[in-house]
Amino acid sequence: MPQFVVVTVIVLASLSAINDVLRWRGARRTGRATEPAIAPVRQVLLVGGGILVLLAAYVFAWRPLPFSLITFVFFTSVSAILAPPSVRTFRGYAVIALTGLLFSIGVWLLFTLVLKVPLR
Amino acid sequence: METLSHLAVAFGNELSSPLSLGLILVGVMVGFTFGATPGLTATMGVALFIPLTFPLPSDMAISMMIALYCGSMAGGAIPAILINIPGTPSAVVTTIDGYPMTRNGRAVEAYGWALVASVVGGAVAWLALVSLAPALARLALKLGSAEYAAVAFLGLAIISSVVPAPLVKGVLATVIGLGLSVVGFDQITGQGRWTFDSLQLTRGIGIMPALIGLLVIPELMSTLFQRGGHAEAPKTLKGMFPTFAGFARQSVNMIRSSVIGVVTGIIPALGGSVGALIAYDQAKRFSRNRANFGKGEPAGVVASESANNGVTGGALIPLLTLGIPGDTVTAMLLGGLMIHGLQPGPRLFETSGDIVWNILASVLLANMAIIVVGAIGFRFFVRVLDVPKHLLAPALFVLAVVGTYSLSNSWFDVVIMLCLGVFGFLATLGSIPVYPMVIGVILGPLLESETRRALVISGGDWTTFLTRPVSAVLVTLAIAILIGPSITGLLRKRTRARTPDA
Repeated sequence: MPQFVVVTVIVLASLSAINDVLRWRGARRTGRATEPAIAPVRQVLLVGGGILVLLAAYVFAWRPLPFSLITFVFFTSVSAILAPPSVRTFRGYAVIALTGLLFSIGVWLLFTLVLKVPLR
Repeated sequence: METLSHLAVAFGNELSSPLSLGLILVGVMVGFTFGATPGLTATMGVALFIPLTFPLPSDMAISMMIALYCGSMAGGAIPAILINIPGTPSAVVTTIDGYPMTRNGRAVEAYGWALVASVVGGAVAWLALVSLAPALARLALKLGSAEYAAVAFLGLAIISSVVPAPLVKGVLATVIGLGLSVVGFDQITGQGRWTFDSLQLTRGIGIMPALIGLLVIPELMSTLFQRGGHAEAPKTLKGMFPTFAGFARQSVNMIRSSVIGVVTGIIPALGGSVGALIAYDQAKRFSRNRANFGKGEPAGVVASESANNGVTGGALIPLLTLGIPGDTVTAMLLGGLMIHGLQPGPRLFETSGDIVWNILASVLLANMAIIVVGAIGFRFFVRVLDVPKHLLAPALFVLAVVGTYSLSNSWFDVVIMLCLGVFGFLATLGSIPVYPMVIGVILGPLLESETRRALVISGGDWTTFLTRPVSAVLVTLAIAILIGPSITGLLRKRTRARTPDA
């Protein structure tokens, strides 16, 4: 099974890549290239990469730090990154902080007291 | 006739007891909440509620747990439809048409169909449960390894072909899913595979960390960068339930999908995802709006949800009549039954008949309660679309992480989920669908172990899959699904090339 998976993935990935290149060339030749459904690559890599780094840091901070504290920090940081310009005011940040506080305490209470999950 | 009189007494008992009705309602409500929250599972819900049912009479306790099971299956459709994140593994197929309907401003209609289909699926399963249970369970036990392997192969072929992506990418994603299922101990030889000398990896990759990692994280990341963002919350809940004419148009699809769900539910270890996939494929095959599938076709939601809830009733058949649990939730229910002094098996109806009939009556009542709880609950759950994206996304990230951790209090599961999340996001950027990967992880162990068992039994003869009638039909169907569209496409191209323009 492992050998079958490796060989098949290599073959199918190559076929898929060739297929993509052919389609892209075909679309470029006929001038039918469509607008991508997601934001520019640079933005995806910067913001997406940033969020994934924060998520990894959040997961790795679980063991040494109290759950509510790191959840609050993670929630507010990600929310601040994603907030649209219209929300980037004192009031907007206050709403983010308050929501983060209530959410982190609420999740901690639900999981530790009701669901008996051992969170710090 | 005897069955009817037993049922009449059981319904009388259940309906005359406010405590019993209240417990069923609470079970469905809790199940809905667990099903609708990504990261919380029906297994977790039943496990948590078993200790709470100790003081209750055994029939009420089991009824409440079964209500929780049915409720969680129906609740899984809510996030699948609203935010494209399935609440349960079996709701993966519901997202294929449910979420496009939401994006087209038809969230209420999609959920109405899901609710009605769930109830019909549950009712059909209940009918099978009370009328055919012992005979069907004995028949299911006659299926051999070749048939199990063929069903798993069919499930994988269907998911590779139904996702809105080129077939080569669908198959690639399925094989990647199979690869993920390889990690851990070999079920037959006991050798470690792709464990990289890690003790934790010898346990393999769990279904829930894979589901959350591959579906929730990439979906959340994609919505952050999508032009236009999430769908808007509906202004009104009018038009939730289909008209009589609409219901009549979908009735054949509903009944067919429910029967498929019941049959797959009876076969241990197949689970809701396979039932939903086969039902979806059949609905697409028989539909006049075939081209609309994957773009927001109500028949797709109906097929998936009828089959899901058909599976719940179907899974109860081998559980009650043979004492065989089909999945983790029914394994929990088996534990619950035994804790309450019931011994599931062929003699259950003889030894604890009154209690069992009360439990069977409560299964139907739980399915009826789904429509009430679902219609009221949706008013609250739909508000999730009103929450600004910058507040919803971090909350869902946290729930994904905590939900994964809470499955077995394992930090390593969280790391696996995170790694699969990053991988799934990169795959999404490369237009490789992630749903087949999840189905590959779910069905991989079944496909591999049953294929190898069948080969051991046949002395290494691969034709065993073609000489047994049931497996031969299933394998042929799977191959037809995989290569059929390409062949018909080629033939159509040739015919068009030969026919001169008018």
